[in-house]
Amino acid sequence: MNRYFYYSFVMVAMLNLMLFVPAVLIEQRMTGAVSSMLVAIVLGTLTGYAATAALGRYPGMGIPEIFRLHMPEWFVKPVLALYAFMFFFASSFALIAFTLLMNRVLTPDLPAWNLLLVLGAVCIYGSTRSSMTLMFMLEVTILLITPVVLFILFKGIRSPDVAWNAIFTVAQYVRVPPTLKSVAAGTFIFTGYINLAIFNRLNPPNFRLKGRWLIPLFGSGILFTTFFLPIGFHGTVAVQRYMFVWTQTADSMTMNFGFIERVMFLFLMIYLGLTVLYTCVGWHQSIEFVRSISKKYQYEVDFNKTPKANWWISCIYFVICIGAMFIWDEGLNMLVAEIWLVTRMFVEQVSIVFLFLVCRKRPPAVKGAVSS
Amino acid sequence: MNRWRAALSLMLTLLLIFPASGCGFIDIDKRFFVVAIGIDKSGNENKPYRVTIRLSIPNSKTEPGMEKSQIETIDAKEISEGLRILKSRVDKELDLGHCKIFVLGKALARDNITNATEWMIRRRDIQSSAFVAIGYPDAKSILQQMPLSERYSGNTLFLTFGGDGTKSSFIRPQKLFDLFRRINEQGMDPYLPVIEVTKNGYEVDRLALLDKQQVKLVLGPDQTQLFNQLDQQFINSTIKTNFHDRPVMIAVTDLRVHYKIKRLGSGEGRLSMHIHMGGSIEEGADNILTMHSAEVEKRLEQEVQKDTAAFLKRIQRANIDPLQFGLKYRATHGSRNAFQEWLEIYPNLQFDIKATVDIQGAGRIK
Repeated sequence: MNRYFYYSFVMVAMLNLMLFVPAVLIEQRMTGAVSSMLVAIVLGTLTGYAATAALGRYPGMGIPEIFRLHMPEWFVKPVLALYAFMFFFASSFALIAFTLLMNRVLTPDLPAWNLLLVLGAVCIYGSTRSSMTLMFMLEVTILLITPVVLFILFKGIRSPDVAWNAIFTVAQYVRVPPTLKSVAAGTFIFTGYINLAIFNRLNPPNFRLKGRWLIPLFGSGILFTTFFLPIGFHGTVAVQRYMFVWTQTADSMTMNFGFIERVMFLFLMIYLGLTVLYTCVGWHQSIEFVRSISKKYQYEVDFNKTPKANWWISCIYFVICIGAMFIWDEGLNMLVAEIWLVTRMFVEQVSIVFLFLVCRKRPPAVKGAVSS
Repeated sequence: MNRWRAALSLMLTLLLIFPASGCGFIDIDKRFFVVAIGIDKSGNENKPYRVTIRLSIPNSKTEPGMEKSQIETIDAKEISEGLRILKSRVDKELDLGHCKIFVLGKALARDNITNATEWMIRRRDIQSSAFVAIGYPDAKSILQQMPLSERYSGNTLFLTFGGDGTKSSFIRPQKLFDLFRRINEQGMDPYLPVIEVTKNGYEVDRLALLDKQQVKLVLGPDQTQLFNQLDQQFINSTIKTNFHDRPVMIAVTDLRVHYKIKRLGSGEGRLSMHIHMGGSIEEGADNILTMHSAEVEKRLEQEVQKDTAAFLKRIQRANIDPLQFGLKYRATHGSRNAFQEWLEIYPNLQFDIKATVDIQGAGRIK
């Protein structure tokens, strides 16, 4: 089951390649983004190792079950509710931000909420599936999408239009001390391990995660690309003038012999798939957290008949998103993104440290394990 | 349960139909594809911009010279306003998605290109990888020219700049995003190729160098090629000299340019550049390779050094920096006010140019 972990890691890293992370980092490119990225790599790798080590002790159990083993019920319930909200917010925010972007770039004549209606409907269906199904969906989508994303990235890096001098110029600012905002943005790239919170339930007993060195390797590769490639294409000054810097970067490349000459369309289509997938996975985990608040809830990793509760919760999420869309715009988007990135980092880091400490103790009596 | 599910799926389906009604979709046969836009100065103070668009008219036959285009021109206060008024003159929706050439008139380029560029980059449907050029004597006459060999409207210019068709060391395309980058960047100035009308098509072999706003220098064909060689390390170019009263041409196939900028106290600096060129003889006297190769190489080296130094001094006098020396200085000098230092250094910068030429072959005859 090793590969499923890396699928979710790759998904989150690639999604953040274009959504909020580059905007925040590029804004601070001369005031601490470069050193913050180095800090973020260390921090992201450490929390990644800690989270996987902690959860690795309890294969077959998600966060709700692990917390129930060690913590009193009055503590578990609000924490689970908080996690449910975090997962819901992360994925809905990505969906809304991407819808806005699509609307600006691709379908300016269409009201944005119309587009969200269609995408949201797909997400409702996706998120109500069982954890097992979502895993398979994750595998299929990532296998289809990753080669194209890597193709675009390599095409960009190899392009003669990249001004390497601009990249080196910005890299000089590594001596500026890191900032909180940029570190928060940088760690978001590494946050894919968080999906183990629910998907750990699917891991078989005696499961051991292998190849964790891929986390810093792939994570820092994506992080440096997301920051430096737009700078190479747009220079040290103009890069900040763009609203959607990665869409712009993709638009600056051409495929002379491709079916579509503008790389931007390929890029947007690929990221459409990725965003919908991310939202499905996020909503699904949020649904599982909400349902786990009740102590009586018996989770199933695979089911034939979709529980009604899934539909209801998912539809409520959908309605909230549509409602939010009416008041959302790019200014608000950027503001919320900054607050969200920092909040998310703190909640996540505290949770991971907490989880790690809790799991250091041997499991008292793991369900199903026969004590001798 | 089943009924509930059916109701839900029906509801979802209805939701999907919803947006279709509000969609601003226009069929392809109700669209006019703009293939080129020209922006001139009109000379009228109230309506300073003259916007010219070239519309492609679909043709069932694709034969050279058979294509048809419609040209529309308008004077307007702003470029965007001009386009909106032009919309009322044609019966179909204007689509800029395929517009890959923007021609700025000579007068506009000598005045200020900032507004026109910002307009292009701001519009979401214009490709960032579109080509921008200067039209001599004005943009309108470039757009009105219908080259004989054109298979579909606008294609001649697409091929000229795209590098798919002709690959010439005298052509230097400029893409829109690159122009925008250079206008904004500290230590990198924009350039634009110059298009002129000839009898059967266009001539593109000169390059205009700009400061952030307007044209400062126009390079002739030789210096355009040299610029390409120095900057892009454009191989398949030529260098020439004289030997025994006959011209010697070398087709360059191997080209490396390295340079370093060093600061020598305040306001002083030196740029040391090393150019290595290798190639084979295309034209010249007999037996150069076997008997006089060292001597000819030496002459070529001197020639290259002389031309390069003259070219660099010329752009230095104009105080423009299209070869991104300033950015290079910023990239290699860590200090916080590297750009300020560079601005002080550049007017007094000394050039130390070394060239090595290696004649590798002589073609089919000795």
